[in-house]
Amino acid sequence: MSVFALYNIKGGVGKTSAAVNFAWLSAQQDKTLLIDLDPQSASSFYFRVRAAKKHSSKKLIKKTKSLDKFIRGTDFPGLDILPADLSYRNLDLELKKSKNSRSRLRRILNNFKEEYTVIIIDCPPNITLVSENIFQAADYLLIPTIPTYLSELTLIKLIDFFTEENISQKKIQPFFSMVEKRKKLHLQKIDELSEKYHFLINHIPYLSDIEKMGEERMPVCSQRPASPAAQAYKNLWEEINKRIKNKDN
Amino acid sequence: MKNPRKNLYYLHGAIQHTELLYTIRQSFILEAEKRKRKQIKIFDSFDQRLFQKNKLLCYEDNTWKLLDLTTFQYEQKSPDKPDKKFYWQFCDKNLCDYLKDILNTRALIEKAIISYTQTIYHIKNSDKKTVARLRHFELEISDLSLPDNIFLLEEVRGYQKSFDKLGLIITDLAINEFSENNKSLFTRLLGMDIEPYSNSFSVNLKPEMSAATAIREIMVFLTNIMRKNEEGISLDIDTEFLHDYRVAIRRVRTILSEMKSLIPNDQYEYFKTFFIKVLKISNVLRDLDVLLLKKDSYRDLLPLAVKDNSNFIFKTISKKRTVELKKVKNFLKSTEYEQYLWEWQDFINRLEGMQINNEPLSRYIDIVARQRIEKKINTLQKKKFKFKKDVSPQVLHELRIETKKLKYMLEAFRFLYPENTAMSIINNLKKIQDRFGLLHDLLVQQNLLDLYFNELDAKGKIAGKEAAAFGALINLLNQQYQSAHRKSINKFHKFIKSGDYARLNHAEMIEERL
Ligand SMILES: Nc1ncnc2c1ncn2[C@@H]1O[C@H](COP(=O)(O)OP(=O)(O)OP(=O)(O)O)[C@@H](O)[C@H]1O
Ligand SMILES: [Mg+2]
Repeated sequence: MSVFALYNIKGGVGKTSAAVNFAWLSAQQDKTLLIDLDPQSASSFYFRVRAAKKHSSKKLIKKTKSLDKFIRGTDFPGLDILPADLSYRNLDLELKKSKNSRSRLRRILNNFKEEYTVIIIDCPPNITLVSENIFQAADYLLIPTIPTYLSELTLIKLIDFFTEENISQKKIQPFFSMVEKRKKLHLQKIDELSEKYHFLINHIPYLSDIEKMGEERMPVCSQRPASPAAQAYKNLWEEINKRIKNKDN
Repeated sequence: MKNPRKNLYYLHGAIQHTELLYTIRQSFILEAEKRKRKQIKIFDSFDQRLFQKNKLLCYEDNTWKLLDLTTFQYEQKSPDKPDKKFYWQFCDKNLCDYLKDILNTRALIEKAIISYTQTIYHIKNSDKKTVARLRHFELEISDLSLPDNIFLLEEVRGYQKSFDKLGLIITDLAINEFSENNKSLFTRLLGMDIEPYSNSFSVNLKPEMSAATAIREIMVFLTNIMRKNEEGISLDIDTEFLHDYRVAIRRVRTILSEMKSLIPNDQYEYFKTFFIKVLKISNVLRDLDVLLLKKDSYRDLLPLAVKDNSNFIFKTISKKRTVELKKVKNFLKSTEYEQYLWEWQDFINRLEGMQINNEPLSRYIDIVARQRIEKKINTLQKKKFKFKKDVSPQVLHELRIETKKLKYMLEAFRFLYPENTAMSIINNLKKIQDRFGLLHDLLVQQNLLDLYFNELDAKGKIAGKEAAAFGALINLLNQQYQSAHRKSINKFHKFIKSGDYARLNHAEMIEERL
C-alpha cells in the first residue's frame, strides 16, 4: 500500500484538483481510496458523495475498525472515497486527546492495507496536529506549488519542519501547479526553484478545463481524457510512479 | 473489510429484459455504456481442481484472470500470452504460485469459449451519483437448456439500500438468482462437468459385508477409474490420466493378491497376468512423462555451456514418447484388451454368486481384512531386525513392497480403524512411498537417457556439445539420486524401526459379532 498526501500549508493551490484526478488515474490500475480530510469536503463534492449522517471525527479516531461503513463507492469501479464532514474541523482536538497522537492516522490507514493498493489524502491547508499525522502517515507528500516567491517560503518552512522533527525529506515531492506560461515571473521562478529543490519535472498548467470540474463534478481525466489538462495530470502521475519504482529498486 | 455484494441472475430469452430496464427507470437514472462484443475462454484441469475451489481461470482481453465464484471478484489479473498449459508457463509470479498449489503437474484444458455482448448500466440516484451497477451479458449459446441472458448486480460501497431495492425489483420480475439450488445450471454454463472425475479411493464398505461383496465393491470402483481414464490417455490431454489409471491397476493387483486365498487360483493367475501386462506396456510412457514434466527444472540446473543443447535431448525424448503413446493407444483400442476387461468385469460380477460354493468368500470382510493387515504388520516387525544401515538391496526391496501393499490395504480398509490412527499411518506410508518413487524415477531416467544416447551414438547421430549435454544431465540425475538415496533410507529405517504401524494391531477391535 502506498499513501500519497496532497499537501500545502497554502490554500487554493490545486490540492483537491490534483487529488481527485490522481485518484481517478490510480484507480485505472489499482484499488484506490481517496480520503477527504478537508472539512470543506471539496473532493467528496467532486464525486457527488455525501458523508453518512453518523460520520464524525470522533468516529474516525476511535472506531477505526468500523470505519469501512463510511466508505463510499464512487462512479468509478476501483475508486472509493472516505468522505469528509464538517465535523473534521474538530479533528485536531480529537487527535490531541488520543494517545500516540502523531502516528494515529498511520495506524488507521493500516487497517486498509488488504483492501487498497493506493491511498490518496486530500489535506486541509494549515500546519497543526492533523498535518503532523499526515507527515507520519504518508509515504509521499505531493506539494502543489504555484511558482511565486511566497510559495518558496512555505516550501522552506515545510522542509525546516521536517528537519526539526527528523522526518525523511525524501517524502517531500513538490510539483508546479497553476502554471501560467505567459507570465514571465512564473517561468523565472520555475527555473530558480527547480535548481534548488527536487521538483517533479511535469507540471500542471493553469487551464479552464480544471476550473470547470466544479460544475461538472467529474475528474477532468475521466470527462475529457484527451484534453491538455488530463494529459498534464496523467504525465505527472506517471512520473510520480516512476520515481517511486526507481527508489524501491 | 467486507466486499461489496454481487448477485448473479439469469434469464432464458430476453423478454423480461426490457421490462427490467423499464422498471429500474421508475426509481433510478440508468446510464448505459456502449455495448461491447467479447469472448471469454475458461480453463481448468481435467478434474476441475480450480472449480472445486470455487475459482475460475479465464482468458479475456489478452489477460489471464482468476475469478472467485463466491464473491465474483477478480483475485488476480495478468496480461500475458494465451497459450498456457502448465502453471510454470505463467509469467505472473503470484498466479504461477497459486496455480502450482492447486494444479501441480496437471495440464490446463479449455473447458469453454463463450462469446457474449456486454452492456454496463450505471444506476444513479437523483444526485446523479452511481449507487449500483448492472452488467448485462447476452450469451451466444446454442444449448437451449442453458440461460442466454445473465445479469450481475453490483453493490457500490455505502449504498446498501439501493442494492437491496434493486434485488427486489429483479426477483419480482421472476428473474432467477443463481444459488446452490441451481448450481448445476451454472456449472454447465461454464463448461464444467457436474460430476468431475475424482481419483480418491472412497469405497463405501461396511464391516458386515461379506468378503465377496466388499471385493466386488472395491474392484468395481477401481475398474471404473481405469475405464474413465482411458479416453484421456488416448487423447493425450494430461499425463495425470495415465498416472491415475496405473495407480488404480496397482491397487487392483495388491488387493487381489492379498485376497488370493479366497479366489479360485486359475482365475487369480489369469487376471494377474493381464494386469501385469497392462502395467508393462505403459511403463516407459509413464517414465517419459515424468521426465518431460521435469524438463524445465532439469534444464535450469544444467551447466550454462550445454543448457541450449539440452533441447536436443528433450526433442529426442518427445519423439520416443510419441512412439510409446502410440503403443499404449493401440493396446487400449485392441480387441485383446476389450476381451480381457470384459472377462474381468464378468468375474467381478460373479463374485457374490461364488460365495455359495466358496466359504471363505462369505466371511465378514472386517475379519478377513484385519487378518491380512495384521499379517503385513507382523512381517514388517519381524523383518525390521534385518534392516541395518548397510541394508542389502534385496531386503530393502522386500520391505518396500510390504509397506506399499500395507498402504494400499489400509487405504481400502481404513474404515476398520479409528480414523486418526489410520490416516496418520497412511500419511507416513505415503511420504515414504513418494521418496522411493522419486528415487526410482531418478534411476529409471538415467537408464533411459543412457539407452537413447547409445542408440544415437551407434548410428553416429550425436557428437560434441549435444553428447556433453546428455552426459551432464545423466550426471545431474545421478547426483540427485545419491543425495536423495541416503536420506530416504534413513527415513525409511526410522519408520520401520519405530514400529508405529503396530498401533493398528492394538487399535480397538470392532465388536464381536456372531
Ligand atoms: N491548474 C488549474 N488551472 C485553473 N484552475 C485551477 C487549477 N487548479 C485548481 N484550479 C481552481 O482553483 C480553485 C482551487 O483549487 P483546489 O480546490 O484544487 O485547491 P486546494 O489547494 O485544494 O484549495 P483549498 O486549500 O481550499 O483546499 C478551484 O476553483 C479550482 O477549480
Ligand atoms: Mg482542497
